[in-house]
Amino acid sequence: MIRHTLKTLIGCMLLIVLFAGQISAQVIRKNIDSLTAVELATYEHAIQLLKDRSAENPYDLQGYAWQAWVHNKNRVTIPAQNTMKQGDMIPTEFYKKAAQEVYADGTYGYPGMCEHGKDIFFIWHRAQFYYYEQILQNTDPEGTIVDSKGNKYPTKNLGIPFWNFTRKASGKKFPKIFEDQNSVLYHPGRNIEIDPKDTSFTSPYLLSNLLQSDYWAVFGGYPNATNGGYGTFESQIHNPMHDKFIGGDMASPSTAAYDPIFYSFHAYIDYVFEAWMEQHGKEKITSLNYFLRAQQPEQFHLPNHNPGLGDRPNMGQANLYLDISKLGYKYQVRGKDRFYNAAEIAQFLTDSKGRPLVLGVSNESPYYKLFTYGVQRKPESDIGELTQQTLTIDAVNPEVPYIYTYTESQPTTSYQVDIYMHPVNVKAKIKSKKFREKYFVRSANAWLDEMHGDHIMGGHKLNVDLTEAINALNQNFSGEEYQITVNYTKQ
Amino acid sequence: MSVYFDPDIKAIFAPYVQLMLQVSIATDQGVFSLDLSNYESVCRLSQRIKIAIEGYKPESKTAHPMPPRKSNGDDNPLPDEQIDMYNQWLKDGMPESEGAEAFSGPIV
Ligand SMILES: [Cu+2]
Repeated sequence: MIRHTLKTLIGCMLLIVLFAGQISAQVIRKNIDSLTAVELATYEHAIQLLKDRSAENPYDLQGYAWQAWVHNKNRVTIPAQNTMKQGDMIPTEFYKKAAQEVYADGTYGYPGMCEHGKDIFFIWHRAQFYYYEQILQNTDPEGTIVDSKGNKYPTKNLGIPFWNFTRKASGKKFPKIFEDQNSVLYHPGRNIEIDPKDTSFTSPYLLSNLLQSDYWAVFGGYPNATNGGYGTFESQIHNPMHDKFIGGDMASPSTAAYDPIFYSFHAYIDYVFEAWMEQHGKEKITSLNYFLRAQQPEQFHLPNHNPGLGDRPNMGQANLYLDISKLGYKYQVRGKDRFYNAAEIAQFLTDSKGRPLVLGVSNESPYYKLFTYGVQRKPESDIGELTQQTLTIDAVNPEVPYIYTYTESQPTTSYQVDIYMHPVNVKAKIKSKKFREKYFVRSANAWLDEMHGDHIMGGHKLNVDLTEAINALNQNFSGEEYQITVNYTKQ
Repeated sequence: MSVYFDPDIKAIFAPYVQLMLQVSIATDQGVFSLDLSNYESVCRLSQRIKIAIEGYKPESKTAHPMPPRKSNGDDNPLPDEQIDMYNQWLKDGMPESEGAEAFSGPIV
């Protein structure tokens, strides 16, 4: 009898464990504005614990500093015994100092280097976030550890909340909580203090339209093994969000992840990646056998993690990260977090009389409308440097895209190119709103670190795909001479 | 005149050894250090090095040419003779030194 009860009890416990395992097996990443007070406090608590760890030892792989370095610190020196303590220092200043310290008895660590300007941009960040989320969940699974602000909440079911930056912010410019100076999510230096009037930037129509592209390289980036190159999402949305809209530490790749908004910003980007795959499949994604560089805590390696042949730490191959159900999270999207479909975009791309916008014919170019609708973002009206070239309009096979390459000879900081296509007999009047509205075809942004002294990065080339614009012009202007005018501006 | 890793190619890359050791190169075989003073390491990543050192040429589309730009922002390509020499070395099958066995490991 006792034995039977025991068996039942064990059985029940097993069931409970299994059930609990299932619940925590897929946490939910929600819009940060729709978190309950407790959910939000839990997220803040987990981040505070990460910061508390770094304050004691900045070289702790599960601390906030190290996780930020994963994004862009190739190499640090790790002392045999850490003596650096944050004390009264501002956390970010402390992390920056620790990253530069050299120890006689130290060994090298290789936190990581984000992949940008290539086809593994999305998946590299996804892998980074897989570890980050695991670390957060394990800070205080049962809610028994008091952080330095005196809080404790169980973190085991925590999912990284996302910021849908294509919708009107709940705060002045960002989700409210990021503007609350008492929150660990607040970070000084963002543009809110510099450019308070710019309150909206990325049009949801622009994003939804980019998502329609069936060509992986166009959307997601060009293969690393050749020349690389930004996909449209990266150069038209991700980069300018970093360097033009958010600013501060987010303006540079090597400091971006010091700002907690980085994680909610990129959690949404990961959802965008998921949405592209849902619509277009996973088969077209390139470089999935690439290994993703970063030094992460080994206990969170995926079961089938294989580090490959190299001598540097990594997160395994990209293809480990395709299926988010295996990574333990999913997205909850509601209402305004959904994207517009092709029919809705077509309906949107019409003039005031309901006629479809036609590039080169309508007074407003379709791209201008996508780019500017409902947001303060506009193509630059000031002239930076102009570059021009002519081309004869002819159909372009999307399999062999027409790539315009802008070569920046002095890439000291981020820059942007706004591209116009107009008949050769129409003068490029960048200062004229009429001109900009009618002939604007693309804007692309290169997100770069400020260069000083001997920087590892050399010059910079920005590839912009003009296939779609040329094919649109080919409908009405086949064989005609057109001019490509590029307005280059610095931030 | 044959081109060998030691001394020809090694001499070209000598000034950049320490700088490049900071970087990790991701490939489909694994993530590698790039030790420009080491024969195996240079052979393994020889195609990527080629893209980078030819990166200052106008027809190149690579975002990151090497060696790095000068601190005043000026272009800083290797002299053409050195790029040609490197390409010749690739063509010759990347010999380490006179009479040495050819590199047989994976090129990533
Ligand atoms: Cu980013």
